[in-house]
Amino acid sequence: MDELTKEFVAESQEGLERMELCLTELEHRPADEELLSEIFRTVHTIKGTTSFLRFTRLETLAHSGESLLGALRDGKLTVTPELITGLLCLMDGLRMIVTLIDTTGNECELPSDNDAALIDLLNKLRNEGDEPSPSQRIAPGEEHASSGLPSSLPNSASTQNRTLRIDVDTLDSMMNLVGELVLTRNQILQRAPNAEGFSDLARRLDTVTSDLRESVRQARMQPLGHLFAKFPRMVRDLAKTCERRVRIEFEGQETGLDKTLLEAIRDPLTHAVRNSVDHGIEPPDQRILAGKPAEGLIRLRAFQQSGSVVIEIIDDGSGIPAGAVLKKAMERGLVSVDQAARMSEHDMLQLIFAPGLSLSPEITHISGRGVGMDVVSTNVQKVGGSVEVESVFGVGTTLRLRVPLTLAIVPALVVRSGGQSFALPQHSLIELVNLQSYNSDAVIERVGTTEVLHLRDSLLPIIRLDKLLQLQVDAAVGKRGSYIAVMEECGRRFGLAIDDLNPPEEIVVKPLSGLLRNLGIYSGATVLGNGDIALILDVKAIADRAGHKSVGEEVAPHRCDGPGCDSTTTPNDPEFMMVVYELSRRDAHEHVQMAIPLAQVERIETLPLTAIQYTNGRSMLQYRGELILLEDQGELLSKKTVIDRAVTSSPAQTLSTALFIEAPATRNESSGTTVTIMICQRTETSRPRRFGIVVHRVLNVSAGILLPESAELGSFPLAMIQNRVATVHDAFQSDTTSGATLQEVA
Amino acid sequence: MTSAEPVSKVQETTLMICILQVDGMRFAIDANCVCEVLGDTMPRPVPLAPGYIHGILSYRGDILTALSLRKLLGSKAIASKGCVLVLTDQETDERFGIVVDSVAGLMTLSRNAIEPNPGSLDPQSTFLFNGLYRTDSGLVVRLNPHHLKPLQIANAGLFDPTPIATAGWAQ
Repeated sequence: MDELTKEFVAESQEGLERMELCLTELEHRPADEELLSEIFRTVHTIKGTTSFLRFTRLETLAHSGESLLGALRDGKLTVTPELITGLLCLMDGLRMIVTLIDTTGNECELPSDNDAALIDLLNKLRNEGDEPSPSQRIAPGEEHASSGLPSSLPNSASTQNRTLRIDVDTLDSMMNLVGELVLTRNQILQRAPNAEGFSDLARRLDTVTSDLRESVRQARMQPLGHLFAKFPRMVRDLAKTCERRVRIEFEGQETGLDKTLLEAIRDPLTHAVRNSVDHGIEPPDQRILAGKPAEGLIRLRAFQQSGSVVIEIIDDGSGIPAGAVLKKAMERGLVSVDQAARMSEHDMLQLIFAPGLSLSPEITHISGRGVGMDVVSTNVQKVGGSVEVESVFGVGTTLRLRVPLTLAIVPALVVRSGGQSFALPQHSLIELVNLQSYNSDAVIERVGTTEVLHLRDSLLPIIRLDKLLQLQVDAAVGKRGSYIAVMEECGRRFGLAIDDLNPPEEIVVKPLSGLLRNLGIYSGATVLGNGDIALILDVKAIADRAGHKSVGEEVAPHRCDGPGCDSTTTPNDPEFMMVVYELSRRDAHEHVQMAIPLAQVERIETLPLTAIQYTNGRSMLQYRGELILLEDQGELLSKKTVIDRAVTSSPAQTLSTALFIEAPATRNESSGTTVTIMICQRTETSRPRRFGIVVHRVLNVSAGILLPESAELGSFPLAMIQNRVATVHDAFQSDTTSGATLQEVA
Repeated sequence: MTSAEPVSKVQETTLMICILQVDGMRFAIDANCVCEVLGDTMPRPVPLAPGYIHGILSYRGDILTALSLRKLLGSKAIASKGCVLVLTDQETDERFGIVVDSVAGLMTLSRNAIEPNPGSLDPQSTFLFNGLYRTDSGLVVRLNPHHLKPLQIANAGLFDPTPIATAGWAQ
């Protein structure tokens, strides 16, 4: 296929996607001339180009469609469901031929292929209006000025200047190179020699690598709107089949997601929307009886939250009866009576993701086999995401998919067990427990063949990584099982006993060969900063292999009662986690403990004092091309007595696991005195604004309880974090309203 | 007659092989199947992997699976560093490694010098070997590169998949 045809196919496919969206919108907004023009433009462009490329079948069909659309635009026809159906058939026909050209290079599989029936339908629909005059008829192949459209559209011209089609293979290759750069950066940072200026060089490499990675990541991003575009049509067709009245609305279509991930969630999202139409939204008469509008509403909402993209499928349908789900699960032997007795309503609802579980009394061609939600859950977990459901019986259901922004480079904790290094993805890590500071015999007890850890007020099943992986353990090593990494995956929480910890790293995920993938316990491998290879552990597979059942060990959900916090979240949700740091007190040698929500911390940098700039007495920092203001409440900068014990430069997320890791000293003689700055974001305005906080040191990341305001406690919000009181940074006040509660990790 | 003709005729009748040593035995593999030979390499062991998997190694941005020829031949595994031959699966373009004790060098042989496998070979050897070369210094067993792919080995069902306990590893 020549380049011109390839270009035509790509453009036509994009145009047809837009057309699909516009057609379903047109049904709701028949008077919207812009929608009609957009549809007309697509068909007109296809027709115009096909005549040039000599695809006569496509041209003939497009011409018939254009005649129908012309009659509509001229007001000779009105928008009816039948007309929209006809136009959707036209779109399907055009798409089918374009796909055929794409795959075979020809527009016909057989010489006899034609679209007579569809053209007849379009003509019939057109004849329902006034017959167009002969002068309006345009013979196939004629480039016509009568379409009334400018040959080049103002919007599309400017769009073309801003966008560029890039082969996904090229992007993959770029991402691979960036990965290599990240690894080199890691190695340089860890092997820092004493050479003069090396530290600055390494820091510069760090900055360039981060920025390059971000640029490539952005290039791979595609708006979720591309994925959402097919749903109006799908919902319309399904609603007709199921005899429902359903409207679909979108929010956050501009939210970007990595191309690979976008493809990965296509099926789960389709299943979820189908389920909402078929099982969620009630028939119109039932809705009216329930005091709801006859037309049901499905809302697809997408937004970014701390390194993840959250997609919610919200319907105002009948909701899911949690009791019925539990009953069905018990009938199928998925839950024991004991387990059932301990389950919360939230736990019961999550059972809908179990394979083969369906509440539908009948199997239709749309759903009812109990496969859909299993597919949703499995596919999302495959790409490192998670799914949860909330539902109020009679009111509606919210299905929440959470997927990482990118797959290739992920923050991870590097652990040691049996003399080998393994990487644990951060998204599954809740906290780390250093058993050396406890009497481990007292906190770990044996129950049958299982060990459990007393962690605060709960019992945590323990999996020993060396035993699980049959690692050859040297008895002389005294640090066996010194740490417990508390992991959570699919609602299952367990402690992974490991020997030692290395500092967290951003790791580049490299795929394993099919044979090793089939072992089902490693999700990949990576090269660490010290050059070693670490296997990346698949946390779900570890739990499965160790025989952990999902239900009994699930953690009670943590609900935020405050306005704007309408979601049930897991305790490690960064929205509820706080970064705890210290500020030096001005006139004393004491330090004040402060806290700021983890979600607002973008990065923590340790920089030489020379990197700080001053303008009009205000301290500033150049960060990723912008000048950000620094807050220096402890006046650390003026005193120039910054203590070097601070965390190394690392993304804020990696800190969420560093609870018990002693921050390594990063003082480098060649770079002189350093200062630790937390780069944060204020999000009270529509456009997030960055600022920096100069801190004495970062202590840890932990969940906490926001104390209720009272005159006795003063005007600053306070939080109780790990049994200590911390003053909450005022940036938090703008993000929450009073009464929002942060619940402590159980 | 052009000068290229004799060269191509020579290429048609001769074959370049790479001579390997494992547990005191000599083996050969067609040199054009070998992408690279990595000396003094210790692949990282993979816990729970079948015993014939020596481990994984980083090679030009990819993580390669390396098979242990010792284990495939039923010899005792040794913990010291060895040579890794990097091969490519022509069907999938996936690269993989074969760990051997050492590589003795390259040798050019006549294609006629090959003898078929002896009929008394065990099934594992029959699967791995593809004839014998008669050389001045004795017989060299020819390995079948198409059967040395990790998935082929696994699917053959002839080799013990029992994992061996893996100890600490250092490059």
